[in-house]
Amino acid sequence: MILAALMSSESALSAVDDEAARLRRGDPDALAAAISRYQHRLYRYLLRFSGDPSTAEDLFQQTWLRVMENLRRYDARRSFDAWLFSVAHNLAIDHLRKSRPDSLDDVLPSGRLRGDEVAGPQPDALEQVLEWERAAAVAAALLELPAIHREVLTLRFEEDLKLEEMAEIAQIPLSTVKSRLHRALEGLRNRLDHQFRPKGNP
Amino acid sequence: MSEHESIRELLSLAAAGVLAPDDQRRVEQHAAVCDACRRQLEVWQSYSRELVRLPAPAAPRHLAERTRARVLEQRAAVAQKRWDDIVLAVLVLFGWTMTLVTWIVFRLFTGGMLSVLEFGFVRIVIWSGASTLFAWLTAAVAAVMLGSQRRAVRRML
Repeated sequence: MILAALMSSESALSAVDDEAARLRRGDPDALAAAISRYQHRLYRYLLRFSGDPSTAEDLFQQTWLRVMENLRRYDARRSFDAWLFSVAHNLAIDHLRKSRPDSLDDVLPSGRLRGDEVAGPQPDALEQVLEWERAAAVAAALLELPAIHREVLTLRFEEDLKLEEMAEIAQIPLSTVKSRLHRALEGLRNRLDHQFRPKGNP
Repeated sequence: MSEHESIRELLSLAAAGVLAPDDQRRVEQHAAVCDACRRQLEVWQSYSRELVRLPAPAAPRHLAERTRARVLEQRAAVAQKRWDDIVLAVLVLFGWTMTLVTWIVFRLFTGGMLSVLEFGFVRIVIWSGASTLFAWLTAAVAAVMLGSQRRAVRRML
C-alpha cells in the first residue's frame, strides 16, 4: 500500500520528464498530447506578447518545431514548462525585433502617478465602470503597452508565475523582472485612469 | 526617501503578490496606519484582479493539429535527408571499391597474376579512364534513383 503510494507519487513527479523522454523517442502520440496539453497556455502567452492572433499562431507552430529540433539539448532537471516558454519567448523577441522594433520595449512617456490626488475623496476610476467594460478596457490598454511589459503581466497574472520563473523564461535578472513588472503596472494604470477619469473632474 | 515614499514605490508589486515576505509585511503595517497608502494598495489590488480575470483567449481549433502535422513533416524531411546521406556514403564506398577491383581485374586480363603490382604509364591512363567513366555512370544512376524517390515522396505529401 505504502509502496504503491510512493510509486504513484514518484511517477507523478517524473511525468513531465517522461514526456520529454517520449518526445525524444519520436512518439507521435506523445507529441499530440504535449501540444494539446499546452495549447491554450502557450497560445495565450504568445497572443499577449505579440498582440496579434495570426502572429501568435505562427509563433506557436515555430515554437514546437524548435522544441522538437532542440529536444536533445533539454536538461531534464529544468522544468519543461519554463523551457517551452523560454523557447517561445526567444522566437517572439526575434519576430518583434524584425517586424516592429519600436513596439518591443518602447516605453511611451508615462504620466506621473497621481497617488495622493486619487487617494482623496475621488473614487477610483476603474470601479465606476461596468465589469465587462472594464475587462474590455484592460484588454485594449494592454495592447498599447510595450510587448515586454505585456509579457511580464501575462506571466505574472495569467500564468501565475513567481519572479524567479519569469526571469528564467525572459532570461533577464530578477531585478529587471521586478522593475519591468512595476513599470508595466504603472503604464496600464495610467492608460486606464486617463480613459475613465470623469469628465470635468481632472 | 521617507518610509511613506519607499512604501509607495512597493504598492503595485505588493498587490501583484511578488514582494519578499519582509517587504510585504512592511507594506501591510504601513497601510494599516496610512489611509493614502491603504487606498492606493486597494486600487492596485483591483488592477491585479482585473488582470487575473482577463478573458482567456482559446487557441484556434485547428492550431494543435496543424502544428503536429508540421512537426511530423519536418521530422520526415530530416529522416529523408539522413537516408539520402547514407545512400550517398554507401555509393562512394562502392565506387572506390570498384575502382580498386577494376585495376586488379584489368591487370589480370592484360598481364596475368604477377602483373597486378606492375605500374606503367599507358596502363594507368587506360585504367583511370575506365574507372572514371565507371564512377560517373554510378553517380548518374544514383542521382536518377534519389531524384525519382524524392519526387515520389513529394507526390505523397
